[in-house]
Amino acid sequence: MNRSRANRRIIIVVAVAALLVAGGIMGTLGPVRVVFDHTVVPVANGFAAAGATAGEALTNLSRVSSLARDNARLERENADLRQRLAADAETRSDNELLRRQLGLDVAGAPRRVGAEVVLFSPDSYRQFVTINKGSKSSVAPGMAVMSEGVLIGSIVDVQASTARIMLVTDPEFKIAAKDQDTGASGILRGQLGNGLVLDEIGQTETVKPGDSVTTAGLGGQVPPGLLIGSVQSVNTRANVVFQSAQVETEFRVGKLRFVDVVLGQ
Amino acid sequence: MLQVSLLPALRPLGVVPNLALVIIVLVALNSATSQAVLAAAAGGLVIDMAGGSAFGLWVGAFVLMTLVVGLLVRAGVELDGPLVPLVLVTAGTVVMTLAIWSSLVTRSGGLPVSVAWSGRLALELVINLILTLMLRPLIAWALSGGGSRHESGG
Repeated sequence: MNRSRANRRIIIVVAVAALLVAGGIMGTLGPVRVVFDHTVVPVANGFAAAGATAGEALTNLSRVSSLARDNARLERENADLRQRLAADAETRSDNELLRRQLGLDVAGAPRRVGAEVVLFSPDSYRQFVTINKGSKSSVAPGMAVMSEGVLIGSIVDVQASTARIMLVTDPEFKIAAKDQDTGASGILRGQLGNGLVLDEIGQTETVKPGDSVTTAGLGGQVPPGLLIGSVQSVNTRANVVFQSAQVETEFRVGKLRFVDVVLGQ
Repeated sequence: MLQVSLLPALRPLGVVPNLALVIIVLVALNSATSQAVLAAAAGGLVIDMAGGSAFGLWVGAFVLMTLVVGLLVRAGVELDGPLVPLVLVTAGTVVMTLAIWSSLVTRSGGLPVSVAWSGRLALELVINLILTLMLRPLIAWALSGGGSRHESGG
């Protein structure tokens, strides 16, 4: 192969790659996306499953020494949650009765669709995952995504049979949230490697470590009351307008396997 | 494929090693530039489509890396030792990380870089360099039957 022929091949490949990148940036890669979703995604799904299983096994191995302590803590939490559940059922029943008496609509549980995580973000900084459900399953941008009872992110991009989720831990993620115990509201932001931060909380509002943080449901398609995590610590300074709180979330990216997309009421 | 499935799920020491970059650099050093550019463009496109941000970053970085190797070949630089792949992987890791940080600064309007982020970069770099040293003989052996880089690129 002579040099000019090799150069021509290089130029053609670089030009085609540049065209595809331009198409990707402008969002006109529809047919390529379809091919991608039907070829790469199914194969990657197998690797993702293997990775999640191996990741979980490694985590469990590293936590063997603390299993007894964790078990005792979880048993206490379980008893507490059962008590709360019983109280909540009573409150819900009273609420429905009162709403009917006042002629108000009775709110039902939000509809959900289950999905499997098939792709992860390829770098250490951005926190995105792709799931195997898309517009064919009524998934739309802005919808909330849950896993094991906590909010893990929201849908940012939808194809026919796949959708991309920006996780709550992505540095670009933000959502209106509130302290469920005191009603204090703020903006929840992702912090890479440092959990989450509930920012822009008014100085007169109260936030305490251990309080549950849920979605506020202000605008968008995310309903209120979805659990995000719990307050770890509060940062209050006398001469600033807002206070902030560190929020701890239970989910870990490497262990994500199955998720629920909240479709709405 | 591993870069968007297995590795991010495993996250050794909390970081995602850039195995794809390591492989592209080693392939570029052991095969014809035109073939390496094709592999870089295809691999980068798959990762860009699976990734979540800055579309074109992976294609751009990989193609640029293979073209740099092609230029080194034409300049007559000695590519047989471990120094060149280590330098290229270091440069690639740093440039790609800075590009991701820059896109975050642009989108979130603030400078998110902290000590933890720098530590993450350092850790990723160390893992990438170890992977380079481990995979170098394997890739060289696997591609030894292919076309010589000097034939087409030099």
